Amino acid sequence: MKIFNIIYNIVAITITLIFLFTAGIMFTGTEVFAVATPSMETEIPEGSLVFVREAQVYNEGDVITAKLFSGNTFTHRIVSVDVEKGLFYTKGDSNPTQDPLPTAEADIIGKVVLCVPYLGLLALNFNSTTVIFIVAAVLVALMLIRFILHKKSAKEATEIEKNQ
Amino acid sequence: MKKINKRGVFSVVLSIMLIFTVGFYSSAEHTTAWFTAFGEAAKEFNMDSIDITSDFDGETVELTFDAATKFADEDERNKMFEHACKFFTVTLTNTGDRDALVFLDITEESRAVTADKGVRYYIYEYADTIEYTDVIEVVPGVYENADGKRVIESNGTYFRTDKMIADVLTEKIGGRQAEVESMTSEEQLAFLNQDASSLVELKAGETKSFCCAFWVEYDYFMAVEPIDGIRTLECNVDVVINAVQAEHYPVAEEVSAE
Repeated sequence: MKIFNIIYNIVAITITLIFLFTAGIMFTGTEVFAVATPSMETEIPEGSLVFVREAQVYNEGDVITAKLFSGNTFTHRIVSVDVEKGLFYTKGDSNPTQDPLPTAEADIIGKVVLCVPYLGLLALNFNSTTVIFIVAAVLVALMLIRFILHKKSAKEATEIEKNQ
Repeated sequence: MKKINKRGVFSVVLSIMLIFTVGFYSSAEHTTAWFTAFGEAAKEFNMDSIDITSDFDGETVELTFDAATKFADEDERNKMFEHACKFFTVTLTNTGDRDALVFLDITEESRAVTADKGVRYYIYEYADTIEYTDVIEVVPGVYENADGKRVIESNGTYFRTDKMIADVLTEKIGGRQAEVESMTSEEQLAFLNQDASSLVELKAGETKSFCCAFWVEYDYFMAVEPIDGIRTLECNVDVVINAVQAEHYPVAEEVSAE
């Protein structure tokens, strides 16, 4: 029971911290993207989660997430800037050449401020509704099991008391 | 009982926080990427999510021009002299299971060199319906322009294609890349959908051919020193293949031909 309480407390603190971090992200307007391609290996491997925040200025060397004309977004590094035209030339770190079309500043969503490897695999491989449903189902099941076990041990304790 | 209830309530709150957090991260938008290949790599273009094979025989196209055209001039715009124009075709097959957008292009280095020499290019999706042998007029002998300078030293047979006239023949051809580059993504989409031949959707399993038409403008050609009275201009052009996943590509409504 003591071990269970320790584990419970650790899990509770972890969940609370992650929740507060996530809430902070939403509050600061930081956006989150799952990287679906290996074009930015090794710094941003495929399956990573990148946290992107709008910046005042974008410079050469910054990794940015921007909108593509196709409606998709992409995350690549700025390799040169045409200040006059307000165009940013980008390239994936593991691509042999720079991207065929530059990006206008209006299409830049923001600069990558944090990258967490593998965390994006959840978004890439599963539908969010399915994930929420599975997590909720597991939690409900755990709570039910705990409730049943607790009821059982309480009943046993009462019976022992009675016999005494 | 009181202790259990407190723990129970806290557990529920924790569960809600966990569900919220997991839901937030699992709904993150996916980012895609441009993939570029040239040279031998363009034979089989595999970048994890995009699989494209081509009959591309190498990265460099060798071009020799012995004639020029005056495409840049308003009154010459509908004439493409047959041997002033060089064609290069590449066939691409999407061997993957995801749709892709493909964009054939010339490398930056080539553009810098060919632009100096006045070489122009236009890349379009090849279609059997384009007639390249619609001869309008035959000009025998030597063609001379108003300045009395020779442009072509043989039969000045010339032809036109309706598609090339409608879609290609603007003074912006030389500066086409610069024009597209200065646009926002929405403007690019509108432009590229009108000029849809340059950006082609290649669905999974589909095969399409691209044609690159190269020609050299008269003014630049005439600046080349003739050898034994014959003017030629040689250059090498590097072609690249660019592709991006076409998950959300909004295809524009059909633009009616003029």
